[in-house]
Amino acid sequence: MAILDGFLTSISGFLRTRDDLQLRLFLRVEPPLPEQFVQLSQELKASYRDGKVLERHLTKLIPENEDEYGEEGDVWPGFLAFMQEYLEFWRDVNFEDLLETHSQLSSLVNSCITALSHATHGIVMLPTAIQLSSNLAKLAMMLDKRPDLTRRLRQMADVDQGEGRKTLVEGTAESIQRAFTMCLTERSSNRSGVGQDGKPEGKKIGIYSFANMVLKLLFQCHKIGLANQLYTNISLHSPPLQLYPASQRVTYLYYLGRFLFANNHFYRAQLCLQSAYDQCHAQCVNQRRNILIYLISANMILGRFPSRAFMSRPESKGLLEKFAPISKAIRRGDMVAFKHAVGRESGNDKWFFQKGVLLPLVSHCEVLVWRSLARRVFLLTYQFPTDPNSRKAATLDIMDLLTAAQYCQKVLEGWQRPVDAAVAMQSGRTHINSIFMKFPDLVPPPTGPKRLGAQEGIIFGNKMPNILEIEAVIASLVQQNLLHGFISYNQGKFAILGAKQRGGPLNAGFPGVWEAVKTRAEREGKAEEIPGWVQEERTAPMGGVINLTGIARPVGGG
Amino acid sequence: MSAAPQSGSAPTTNATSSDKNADPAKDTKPAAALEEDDEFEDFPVENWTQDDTEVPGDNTHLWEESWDDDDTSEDFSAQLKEELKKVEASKKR
Repeated sequence: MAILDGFLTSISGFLRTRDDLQLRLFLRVEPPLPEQFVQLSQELKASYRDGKVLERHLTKLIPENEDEYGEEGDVWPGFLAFMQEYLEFWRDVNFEDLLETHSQLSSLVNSCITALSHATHGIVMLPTAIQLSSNLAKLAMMLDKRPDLTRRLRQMADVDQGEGRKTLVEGTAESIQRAFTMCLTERSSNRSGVGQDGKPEGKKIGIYSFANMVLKLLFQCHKIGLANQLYTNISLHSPPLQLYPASQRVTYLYYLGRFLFANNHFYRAQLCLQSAYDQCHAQCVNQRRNILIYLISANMILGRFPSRAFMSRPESKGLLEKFAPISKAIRRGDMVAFKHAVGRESGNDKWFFQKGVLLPLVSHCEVLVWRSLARRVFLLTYQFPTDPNSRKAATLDIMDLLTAAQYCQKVLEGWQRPVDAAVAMQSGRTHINSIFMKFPDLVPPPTGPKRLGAQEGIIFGNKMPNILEIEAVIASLVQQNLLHGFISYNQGKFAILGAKQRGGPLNAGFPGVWEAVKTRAEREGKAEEIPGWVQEERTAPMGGVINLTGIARPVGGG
Repeated sequence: MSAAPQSGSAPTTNATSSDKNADPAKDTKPAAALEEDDEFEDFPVENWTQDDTEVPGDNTHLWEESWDDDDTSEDFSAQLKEELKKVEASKKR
């Protein structure tokens, strides 16, 4: 009996001294653990098969030490229920059966969170609740990658609930979310939830520990839409993020950045991810690399490319190579190279897809390639006026851009120039006068044009671009502030505005992408406040007493 | 009490250790060994200072904002130029 009795006496002592860290140290479940836990388990198996016997022994060693006024002491029923469950866990657990272990641990975490909910004493459970929830989340993540183990569960669920069933990971997220909500909405003496020492008060300390676990699980089960409510609630009730430890800040901003990225809020995503990256420990390469994948993707979409400064950093090893062909294609306006950089030809498409950045890159960076292609065609066709005082507007012939788009489409479909016999005879060496020679026309492949998927073509699959589509592209670029000017439908031209004032038609007609995006984001107030990221202490009243004078009149009184 | 798990004998699996001196590098894999699908791991330490986030090298110009390429001698431009000329010529014919 020595182990259990000693164990419970210690627990009782920690409760009395409110030693939450010692409690956490004793109330562990995740191996590897000291030998005593094995002995505890054996003793429970040998002598406490009967739950009633265990309960009696428990209340004897951890008495509800009421004070002389009959007031509740520092032991409360929720805690005893948790302790009972904890001991039963160690009595019954079989780590060989991970699915069953998950179910037992889920139940244990639920009762731990219930113990945490006690208004006065619950706080002593906070470190233990965080630890056990973290163990549960880890186990759920691990099981999610083992479909061989969860098959049995799925079969059972299919029979029980049909399609509406929740996955194991989602169910786990929901359990832990209860603890998150409890910490977030705890009534504190100060409205902002910040104590006099400048630190989060009471259970509010646990907000981001639980939030990060929930977010990790929601991302794992692809249910990030469910995070929406979590972010809204944090915006309403949380103390500022900066009051929390660095690991929690960085993890939280990483997931918030990914959430915003997945919802096409790239500017805000970039702000969160940059902050996460800047605050991340220099030696935590795994985390820095994960942040960087989304930070680079968001920046590419916004028109900023990673500089050489990243080359010496261990976390970017192998990353820059994947993104470089995309940025090179954007710079040149080379739509063919772009389609290849994000397509199967690159060999990176699967990786981009797994990371959840493929579709955003394909659809949003393509806009930037169109801008550069228009710029390139302008560069190749525009005759700069000889008279410096010419008042004629600089223009881009829309037909020329159409020619360029059709050329790209043909190359993508596999059209080629027939091999010139004279060139072939020179063993591939270019004739000295080649620049004066004409290129032969492109011809379709003898087996017919290559069949292109929807995203692989310039407009849609094998659709050859026409003038209407090109006009639409230009109009869209103008609307996004990526081209500066207007379309003259009569002349079939795009005319650049303000060439004189802005240092020439190139600068005026084709503003820098990042500059245009940033100006727009700032105008729309996207840089100031990011939903879900509490940057300042809340001063506005919330959750207080609502004055109902004049609204809630007594019945019959009005 | 003597048989209860002692803090001293506990292995350091304490995920939320606030020991600032712990070296997080020893728990993280070197970059070369990073698997392509490595997910975001839990941090080996709870808190650190601004100094710990600083990396050697240029930290001010991480992003290239002006990247327009005016060189029209590369292959894509040459091909495009030829195509534009050809179409222009066929219109005049």
